[in-house]
Amino acid sequence: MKFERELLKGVAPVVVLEILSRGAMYGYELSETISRRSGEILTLGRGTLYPLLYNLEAKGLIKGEWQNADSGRKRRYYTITGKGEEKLVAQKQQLLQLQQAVNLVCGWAQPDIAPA
Amino acid sequence: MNRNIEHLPKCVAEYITTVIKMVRYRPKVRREVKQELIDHFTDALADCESEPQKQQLAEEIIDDFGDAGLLAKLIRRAKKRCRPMWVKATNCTMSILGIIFIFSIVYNVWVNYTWKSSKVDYIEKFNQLNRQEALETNNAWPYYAKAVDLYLELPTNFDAAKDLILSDANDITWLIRFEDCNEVQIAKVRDWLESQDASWLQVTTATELPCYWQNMPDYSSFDKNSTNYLDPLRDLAKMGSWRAMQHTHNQQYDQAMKEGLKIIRMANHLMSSKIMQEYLTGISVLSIGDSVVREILKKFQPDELCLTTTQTELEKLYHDDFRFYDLNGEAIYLMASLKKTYIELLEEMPFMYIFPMGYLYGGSLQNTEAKTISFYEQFDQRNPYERHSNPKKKNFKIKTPGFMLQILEPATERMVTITYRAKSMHQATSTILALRQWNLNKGAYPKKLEELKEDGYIEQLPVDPYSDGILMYQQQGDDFILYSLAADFDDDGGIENPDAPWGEGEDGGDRVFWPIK
Repeated sequence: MKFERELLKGVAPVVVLEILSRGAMYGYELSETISRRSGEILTLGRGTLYPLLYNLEAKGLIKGEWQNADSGRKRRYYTITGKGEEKLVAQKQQLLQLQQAVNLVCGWAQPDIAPA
Repeated sequence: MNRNIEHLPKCVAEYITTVIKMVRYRPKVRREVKQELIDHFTDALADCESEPQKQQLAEEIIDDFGDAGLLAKLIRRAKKRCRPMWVKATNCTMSILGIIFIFSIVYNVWVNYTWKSSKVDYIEKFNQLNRQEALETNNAWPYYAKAVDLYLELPTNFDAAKDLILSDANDITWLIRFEDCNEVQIAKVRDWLESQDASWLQVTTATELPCYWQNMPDYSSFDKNSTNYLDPLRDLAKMGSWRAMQHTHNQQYDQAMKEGLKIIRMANHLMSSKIMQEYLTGISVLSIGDSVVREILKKFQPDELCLTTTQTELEKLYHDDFRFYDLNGEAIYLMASLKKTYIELLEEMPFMYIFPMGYLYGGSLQNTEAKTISFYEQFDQRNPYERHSNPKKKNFKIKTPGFMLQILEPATERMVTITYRAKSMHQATSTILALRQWNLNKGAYPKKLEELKEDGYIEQLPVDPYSDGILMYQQQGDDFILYSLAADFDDDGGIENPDAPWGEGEDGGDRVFWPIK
């Protein structure tokens, strides 16, 4: 599904941080995981993926390191940092509040709140 | 790191190459980004079973990545943000310094160009200022130049005379003690003085002419012309003092006094110059001349005619006022010197255009000229006592560019002080002559100096540059003492410090003009 670019703009970093909080990944793997975990709803354009990863790295929210993959080849793996964890918690809280507000405004049923 | 781009479809290889090329960043960063992109495509195309399928998927992925230029730009921007803070700070600082450097070079080129391209002829301006309003035939300079050419330096093995010279660090008189010479030494000195007769004849002719100036011909010989004859002229004055002392030794006191007066007239010529070095040489020569006159007075009592003639000559020389140095002339001389420096430097080394020479002197020619003229116009030329008791607030703040004037300031102050000292010494000499006349006529010295003026023996009483009045005077038996309070501004009762005759040492002291040792 293609979402409005402005809608995705604020969500993409949270999504990446959330995925990486569950384990280190390399670029392609991360892209596939986002698509799969979101039920094919969210697809992070490849042209956005790497610039986003580098920006998050510049902000110190994730860290990139060259490591040996299972296949024996070297890959650049990204892991979330402590600062990234804190940022993720704060961003998720904000998204949750936003979700509740939108639900109330639009008159939708209260959604199942995802466990923290 | 794997760099296996060859196994990827051609379009992918071209796309990645284009992106990496357009990232334009550090090689290490570009290598890493390239490898990540290669890995991404490799992983994405790993499950393709055929080449056409691979090609189609590759094109879709490239499409998803988007415009290569935009991607490169985004990657570059993000990677730049990854730099450590110290690198960002350093780059920022270097950029600022680079801008300042470029601006400075442009400014320097412009400043140096204003000097090189200026049509102002400071040499001509200076020559017009320096020249007396009189005929060329009345100019003493050509005779002095000839005297310098004819002057034969003291032989280096002339030890006999050198040992007999009354000289120390503070005494520039260079007088010779003939009374301590033996016959051989006297003969040596006499022979050497005779060998200088031709030179001294030129000096004699010069000192009888009313004027003195020399024209600076052009920038290339500006400094050379102005200074390469000053030491010989000073040596000529010293040689004249020996001639006077020789006459004194032979009891030819009138001739000795005439030689002293020649030296003083020579000093007067040099002090009329607009060139500081010439003026200061004149001061030095005046000191020699005054010392000769006082030394003669110490050795014998001239008759009234000799005293009157000598005193009249001394007073006539500085009838209006003592000849002070013309600082306006110095300003033009300085500008001429600076322009000469610029022209020579820029012609011999064109790359100097970019160097900050302007900061050394005063910036552009116009700015430097304005600062220089203002500096000298506002310069405090009061005597040491006035400056000491009422310091003038400097309303001329010299800001860079132009620290050259800051360097010149203490030297110029010193020159003003030296001038006042020379004036007081000269007036003291004239006063001593008047006192000796008084004594000759009345059999004793006056009680107060003012009596000299009241009875017409002197036109002006000698001013003490280190007090608000005249020189100190006291009768002492059948002699007298005449002195200045000197640089400590204290009356030490006429006690002079031999190590610092002008009282500049820690122990102070007075400057005693009479009696002389």
